[in-house]
Amino acid sequence: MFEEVESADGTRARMIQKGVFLAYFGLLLAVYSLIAEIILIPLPYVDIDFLSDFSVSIATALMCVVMSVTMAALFHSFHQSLRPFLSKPIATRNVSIAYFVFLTAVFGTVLLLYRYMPFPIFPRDIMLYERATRLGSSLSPILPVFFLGFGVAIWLLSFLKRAQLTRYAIRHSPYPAVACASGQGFFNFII
Amino acid sequence: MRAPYSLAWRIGPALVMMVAVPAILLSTWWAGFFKTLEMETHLNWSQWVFFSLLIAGLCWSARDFLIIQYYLLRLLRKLAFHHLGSVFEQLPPKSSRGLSTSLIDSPPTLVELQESHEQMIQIRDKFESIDKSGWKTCQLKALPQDLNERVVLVGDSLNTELKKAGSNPFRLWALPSETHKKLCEQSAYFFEVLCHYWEDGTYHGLPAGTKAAVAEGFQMCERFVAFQIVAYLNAVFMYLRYLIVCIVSAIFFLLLATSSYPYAKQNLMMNFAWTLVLIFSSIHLYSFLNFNRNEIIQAIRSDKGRPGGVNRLMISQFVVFGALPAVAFLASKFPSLGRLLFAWVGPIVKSLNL
Repeated sequence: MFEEVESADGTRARMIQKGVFLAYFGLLLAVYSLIAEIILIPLPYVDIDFLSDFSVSIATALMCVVMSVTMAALFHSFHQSLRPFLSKPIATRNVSIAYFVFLTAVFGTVLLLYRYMPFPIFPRDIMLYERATRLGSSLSPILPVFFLGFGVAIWLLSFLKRAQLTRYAIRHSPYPAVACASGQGFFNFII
Repeated sequence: MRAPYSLAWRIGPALVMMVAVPAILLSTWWAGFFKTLEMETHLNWSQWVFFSLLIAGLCWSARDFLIIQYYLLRLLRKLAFHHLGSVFEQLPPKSSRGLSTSLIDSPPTLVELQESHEQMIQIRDKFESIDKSGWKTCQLKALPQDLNERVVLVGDSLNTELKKAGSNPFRLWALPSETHKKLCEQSAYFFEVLCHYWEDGTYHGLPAGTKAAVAEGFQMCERFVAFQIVAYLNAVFMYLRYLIVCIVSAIFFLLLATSSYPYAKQNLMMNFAWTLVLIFSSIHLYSFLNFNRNEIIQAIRSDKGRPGGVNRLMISQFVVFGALPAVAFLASKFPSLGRLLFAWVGPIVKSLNL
């Protein structure tokens, strides 16, 4: 605990910090993608004709927009936190904005296609949607994913705080490095 | 403590982790955790992946907690038999605020470093006021050197950081500050000077008045070093608190996840989660008791040697980590008891019109 284990430029500390960011955004993206996939399951009994049921179509389109923006933001964050591991610098502001707009368009298109394309729909998909969207029914498979993901996210945040504390506070020892008889052993006491 | 952060390889704890985590995951897989009665979807796989991550994180945090509390207790025991052991009693009880694993304790703020700086000023003034005429060279050299420069160095750093803190809407903590680092360096220097003072007996031949003044100056140095050690212990306890947050949140969300869906082996999964709750509650209470009855922690908490009255912290910790999990466990196992215990919740919610 009192010994100097880190390189002077803090390379290892920064790598750990970046690793935690990468894991955090990866986790958020995974949980959100799962939820988005289930929410957007196309249902046969909802009329998707734009003119016949205007309110349903508007609500679905809005949902697709919100989901595509969120997923683009999460994917962009994940990509940016991955770049340092590939020895590439973080993108500049303008590049980031352009990339984010591009990602939003891509995700929006994919989600709209997924929602409106006439894919075959199986009864189990309908059942999954019905169970998943009724959170109070005790039958929603999204809830365990959400809880477990939230637990891992809190763990990652606490890990980051611990790493920060080790880097800034615990590295500074109130004991002398030169051992004298009375203070011997304190400096190298703990792991 | 640095092992998880620095990825330092230590064969013992690493081996335990390498065996324990796969063993738990394999046995839970074999037992059918997260299997459902209906057809499996990718949601089941994702649940299993998150569960594995949570268990790995839980084991990692638990291992770190056990290792750190073991070494910290060793350090505290060693301190209890050190020259500085008696000095901790002279510290104000408020400095013991962060020395526990209670989650509601806050770490020291930047403003609180002012006290250490004032201690340094008093040390400087004390040694400057001593008449050093007729002293031998070795006696002069055994005193703390360049005290004025040291005081100015810490003071400048503190003033700069306090100015920054004034424009910051959030409260700034003392531990990551540059002033804290400088104070630690000064403490290390004073500790070294004190070692020579304790061992050499350089000032035996001086007149009684001067000798008393020198002794008083070194006692002030001892208090300063003890204060910095307490600040250091604060950082270690804060680290332990983050570990507890990791463990508690992991177990809590595991329990919620297990109870929120009718898995095929839900009863077994709930028993597994409750076992983890009871094991970690016991470990936490055991380590909390160990810290609580430690001589150094008790000495810091005491008001100039007098014990500090009813220990509210101990009661709250027993309620949160002992009574609450036990009651919740019993209520889940015996629903009639649960209804009896939590019957008052319904009327309160209704009366509050939430």
